Amino acid sequence: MTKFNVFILSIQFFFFSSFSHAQSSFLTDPTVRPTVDAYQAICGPQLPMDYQAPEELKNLCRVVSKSELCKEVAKENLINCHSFGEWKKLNIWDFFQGCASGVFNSIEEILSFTWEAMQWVWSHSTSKETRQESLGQAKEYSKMAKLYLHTEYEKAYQTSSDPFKSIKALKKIAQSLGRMLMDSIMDMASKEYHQLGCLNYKAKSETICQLVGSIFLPPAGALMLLKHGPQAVKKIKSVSEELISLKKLKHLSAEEKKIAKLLNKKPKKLKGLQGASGNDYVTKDMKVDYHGEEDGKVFHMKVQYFSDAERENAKVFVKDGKLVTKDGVPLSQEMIGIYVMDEMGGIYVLPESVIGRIHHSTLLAGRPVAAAGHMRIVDGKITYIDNRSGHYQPSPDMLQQVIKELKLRGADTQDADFKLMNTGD
Amino acid sequence: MSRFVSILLLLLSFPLKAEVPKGWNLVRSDLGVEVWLKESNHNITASIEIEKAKNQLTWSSVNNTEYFKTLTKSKKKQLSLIGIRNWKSSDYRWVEGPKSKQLIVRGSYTDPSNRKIHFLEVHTFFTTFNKRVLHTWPTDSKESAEIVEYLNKKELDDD
Repeated sequence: MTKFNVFILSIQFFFFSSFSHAQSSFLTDPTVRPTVDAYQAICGPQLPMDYQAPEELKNLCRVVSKSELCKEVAKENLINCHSFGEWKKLNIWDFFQGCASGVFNSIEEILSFTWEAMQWVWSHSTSKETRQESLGQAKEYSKMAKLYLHTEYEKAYQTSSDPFKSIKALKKIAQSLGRMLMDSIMDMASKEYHQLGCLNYKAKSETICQLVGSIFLPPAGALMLLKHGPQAVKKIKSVSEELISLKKLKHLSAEEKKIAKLLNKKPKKLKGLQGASGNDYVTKDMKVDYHGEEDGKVFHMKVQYFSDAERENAKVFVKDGKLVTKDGVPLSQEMIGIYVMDEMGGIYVLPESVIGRIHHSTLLAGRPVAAAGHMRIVDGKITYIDNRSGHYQPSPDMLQQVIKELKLRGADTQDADFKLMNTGD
Repeated sequence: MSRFVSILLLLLSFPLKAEVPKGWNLVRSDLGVEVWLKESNHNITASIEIEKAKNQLTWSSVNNTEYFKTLTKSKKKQLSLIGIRNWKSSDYRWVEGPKSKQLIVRGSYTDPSNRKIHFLEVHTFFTTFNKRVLHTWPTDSKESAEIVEYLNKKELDDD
């Protein structure tokens, strides 16, 4: 057995063997309540310490703790192999009933989440060709599956007892979903938290609860984990961290103050769909490192470059202060997406990026941009915006350009947070 | 006079609105769906779900063969995520009206509690909206015509 395998095994053991209080600072952030209240209430109490580890596991612990891997772990956080009894073996559903149950605030959230997962499973179980051929019919049919979800959930809910009635009902009906999530989390833990096996009870408990918090705040992160596996982890974590750091930001730089001032400006009340203002904005070319990406020369696959028709579908307008599609429908209930703006002020948004396939360059087919970054949109309203784009590395001025354009069109950004990346030349 | 009284009494004996069949309860009505459950001695003996929604697919654009093929093809994987196994249709038929079309599918599946459940799916396509109904009942129970009748009547009352 290789050293790597030993650690994977040990991580799996340790991962399942402990959960406890997490007092991570970001979880106290008011923006993520009431999820966090539930999370802390559940993750708070210590678990019964009645687990007696067999001698061979203690030996494995000794091997792990003295290995190269654990050398960098602070002494106070290092595992004590004599006190293995403090860990209790947990299963998938302890996980859901424990830390993760704080994530879902209502039955509606649980059902919506499970339904999204079901739709995802459907779209991944049929070929792209099949989906395109019979999209309308398939969508219609697929919705019937929602009735099965509600029926089975409701039957389970009616026969479950308090407390955590909704979680117990979910447990009854969504065991496969739980397994998929846990597999993804395990996969991620083995890559991102490879030193978990080195940590003692307290350090490990905190780390795991932080990990769970990172994944499940917001719950959409869990779905992203299902969709993209470990690749999604960094993105989820960076979004969580950004949200936290935004609130913690007390001292703004001169540039940040300018942006905050722009965002806080009262929106103009304009009637009808507001398209691009037609202003001539300063643009920036894509970094040369990405040239040829559409032919597969940069990533292991070809980056998709949108045609004019595809780009039109991604174009957003402003109506009554909200971002809407060309049909005037507000952008989805909640999404964190990527955006770019062209030289005339046309803004294009996509729900997410896919490494090697969909990037900021996708939207304008590699052409120069006047702005690029990430946006969080809740029911058409922008709640967060930044200028983070590896492909274009837009300057702070470019973030100001897109905010100006949004303001010109009457977008309401008064409650929006922002993050400024000083990536300009 | 007595004739008038008897007619009045007769009229009063008819309920103005449909009455909920015995044992059936509306347990949820949100997210665009209604869930009705029938309980007997604390056991759920049947359920019915109803959803009416606007959609792009109208009755005239439905391809019968294609629709049923897609329906059966991806069902198993999708439903397995919520613990439903062995979903299979035993019978299906299309009923075509002048401006509507209905697919009626019967069959069975194994629910997450390992019980064999019978189902009746009704997909109805109109011009501006579509309606989906799912009625389920375990082997030791039976299909409830009265709830379907009640819901149809209720819908007319609501309209």
